[in-house]
Amino acid sequence: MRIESKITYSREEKEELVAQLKKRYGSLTSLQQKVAMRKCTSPEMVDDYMIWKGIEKKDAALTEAHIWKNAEMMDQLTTRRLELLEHIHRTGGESVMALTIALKRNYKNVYDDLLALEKTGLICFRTSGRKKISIARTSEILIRFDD
Amino acid sequence: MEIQRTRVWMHRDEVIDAIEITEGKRRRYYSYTYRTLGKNGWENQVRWDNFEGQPHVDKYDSNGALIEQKSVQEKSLEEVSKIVAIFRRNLVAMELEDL
Repeated sequence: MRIESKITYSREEKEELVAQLKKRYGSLTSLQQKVAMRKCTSPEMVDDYMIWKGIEKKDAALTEAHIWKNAEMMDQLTTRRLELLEHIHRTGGESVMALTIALKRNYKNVYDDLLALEKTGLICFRTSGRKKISIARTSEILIRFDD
Repeated sequence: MEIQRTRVWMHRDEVIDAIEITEGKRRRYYSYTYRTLGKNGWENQVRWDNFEGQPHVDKYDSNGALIEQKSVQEKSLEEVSKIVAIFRRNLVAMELEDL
């Protein structure tokens, strides 16, 4: 069994990623120098460099996929979490409190479910003022039995 | 140019993080890192990549320090997934250039 979710980064999401990389490393040139010195001890830096260099190119497409090789994922996707994911996807992103009210659920349970969804890569959080906004990172989850 | 990031969940606490950069049909860059969840978060165990056009495999210790680097043939994510599925956490003890 193979369970798969895939997202394509929008232009804004790519810009946000570049902003995060700039904050972490300064500039692409500075990262290139760091990679030249520490490529063996910091493989994440090499990946960040290659991604940054790639998305700087015109018309570069960036996609992200999560693949689960067994049915273990299914117990992470409870009915409540799927309902939450669908609501977040439909609304484009909401705070924990807004989700609690909209879905008539307990705040702590919603928060715990959001953390579980974030761990599986299906949502991410963005901070807006003091609010933590949940954003859906996928619009579909595929289950294949051909693997 | 297409940049593909993939996280393959082998188990709750074992993943392969993959980056593949392709231009047309040509794969320019790949990295496949087998990570396990430890007390300090996701820890690198084994990594295949072709940075600077040199396909190789790296092994890391529990502190994230590189302990071994060997040249290997280019690998695909499918091949790496199969190797990881067979050896899992014993992968670090294997002669990876033979696999």
